[in-house]
Amino acid sequence: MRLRIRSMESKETLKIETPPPFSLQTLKDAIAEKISVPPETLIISLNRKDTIDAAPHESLNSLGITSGDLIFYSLGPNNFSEATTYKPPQTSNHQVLTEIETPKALDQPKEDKLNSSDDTMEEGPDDVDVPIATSSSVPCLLRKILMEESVGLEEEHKLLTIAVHAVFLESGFVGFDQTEQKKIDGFHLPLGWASNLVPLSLQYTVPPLLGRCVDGVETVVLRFQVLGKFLNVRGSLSKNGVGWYKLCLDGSRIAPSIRFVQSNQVLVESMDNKDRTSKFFHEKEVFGFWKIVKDEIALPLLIDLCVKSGLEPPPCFLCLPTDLKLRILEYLPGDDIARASCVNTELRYIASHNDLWKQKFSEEFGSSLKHVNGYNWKDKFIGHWERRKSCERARRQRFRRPLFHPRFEGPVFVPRRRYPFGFPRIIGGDHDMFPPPYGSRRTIQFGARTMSISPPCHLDEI
Amino acid sequence: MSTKKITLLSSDREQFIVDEAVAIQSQTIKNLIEDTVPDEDGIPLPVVHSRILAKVTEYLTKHANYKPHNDAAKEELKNWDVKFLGKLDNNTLFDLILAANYLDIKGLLDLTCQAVADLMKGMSVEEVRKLFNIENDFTPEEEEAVRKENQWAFD
Repeated sequence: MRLRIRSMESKETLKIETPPPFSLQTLKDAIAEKISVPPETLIISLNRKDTIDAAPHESLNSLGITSGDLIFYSLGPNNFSEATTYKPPQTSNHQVLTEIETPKALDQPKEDKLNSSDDTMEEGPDDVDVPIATSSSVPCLLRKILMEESVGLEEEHKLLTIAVHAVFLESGFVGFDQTEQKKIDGFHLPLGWASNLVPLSLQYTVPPLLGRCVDGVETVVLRFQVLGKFLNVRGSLSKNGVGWYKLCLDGSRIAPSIRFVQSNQVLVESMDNKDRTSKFFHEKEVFGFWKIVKDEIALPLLIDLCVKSGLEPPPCFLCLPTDLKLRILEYLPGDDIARASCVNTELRYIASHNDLWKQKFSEEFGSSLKHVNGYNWKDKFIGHWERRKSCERARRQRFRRPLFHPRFEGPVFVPRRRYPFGFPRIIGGDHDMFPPPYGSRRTIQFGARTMSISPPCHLDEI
Repeated sequence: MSTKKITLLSSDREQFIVDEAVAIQSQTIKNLIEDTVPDEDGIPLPVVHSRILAKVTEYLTKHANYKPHNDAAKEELKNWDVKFLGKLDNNTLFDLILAANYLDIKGLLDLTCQAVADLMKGMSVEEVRKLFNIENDFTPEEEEAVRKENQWAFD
């Protein structure tokens, strides 16, 4: 495999050829030999920022290195611009549903690309961790409600109450005013809900039941009770409810994450790296909160209410607890998950789970980065996906050229799955008669091909 | 040696008598046998309907009596699983997932979740909505945004 290497110190670029097996260790050995230093002092990177820190036997392919790539090397850790660990990708606005950069943006240089403006060489394939999609990780309604209704609320339990209310509305319930016997439009909570004197009680119903029953609308009731930093939530059918679904929420744990989501929304421009690093943690916390409220109270109550009032229960897939929905998604390939996220708001939220995409990335593009945290894995997945697709497209076009084309020129793209040996089989024409253009791996494949020129003798097998 | 029999009681009070070795493949049932005083009628499983419990016991019986030692046997068990899944309609499949989750039967849970994923594989958004009867609850703007965000998967 031919590679170009560039020193971070002298900026000098050299060409090297790594021998098989194409592992990280052979790459290091080849560089060390070229520049006459011991291999263990070498630190290498694909994008001048993140050092490649994998096991020596890790294959170059799984690290995203293909023939023709430019590898940066240094003899000391401080020569890479940032720290020696992976950084979360730069995002401009990762909470709001905004326009998403089109995949074309993949090829554009990173904003934080380093000082060498005169640098015209192509970047390594791992450079595709430029965020192209800043998918929302909090359901639209929940986020909107939190934004509109609870900014500036000091008390944790009130923030939590609003958040639980938001999950209920998001699950298909509508608020119901028992005294006036009508539904509450929009998000509003009853007047005086924030008073600390009376334990709060909220009623909900589903739209098909409104105005249907003669003896009052069938509803469910939620009761909130504050116990220190905890908020106890109990839910049941209003009439003849058999049992209570109970939940105890820890305000000191959930409230900071909800606030983070809010502050991100408000101060999105002033977000720094530290905030972005916290992002994944807080989003996970909010996901956990959403999941527990939905699975433990909202969904069971919704099913009970439907059964009681003779309505069709929610579709079977939506009746599954979140963990099981997530488990099903785990069995799907990345593009199917992406399509599933277009089905409805709930699936969109579940399918945005960062850990899910981390797993998909490792399945699809190798596991060399699985120990790294802090990426938006979906963005990273899409980046690699698009790149692989454009490689395949380029390859297909290249082979559509006329057969008399003298020679295969230009950089070699090696799609990682389609042609595991780096070169598709071509039967006929001149291709199977000439030796490979270059690269020792092709020799292996073409070795077998060249045999077809002088057919092997099978006489001894007869 | 006679094997110990366990009686399982479905939500609609139907009794299922199975070998203990069959029943304890479910971690939940195993815990219930160990921790509770047995009911006269059997071990109550209040969230599993007899229609589903029949399927669960069918699966458990096959997998308890059939310990594959070679590839051919494994293949046969796999074929049996495929046939087992083929007989289920969508609603039963989802009920089985819930039952396998409640009863904590890992093999059955994996099998059924994989089956649902296989149903969804390669389908368009509209087909998934139709398959599972899921309503599109996006606003037009949201739908446009989510389609744009996932455009890469449609090309």
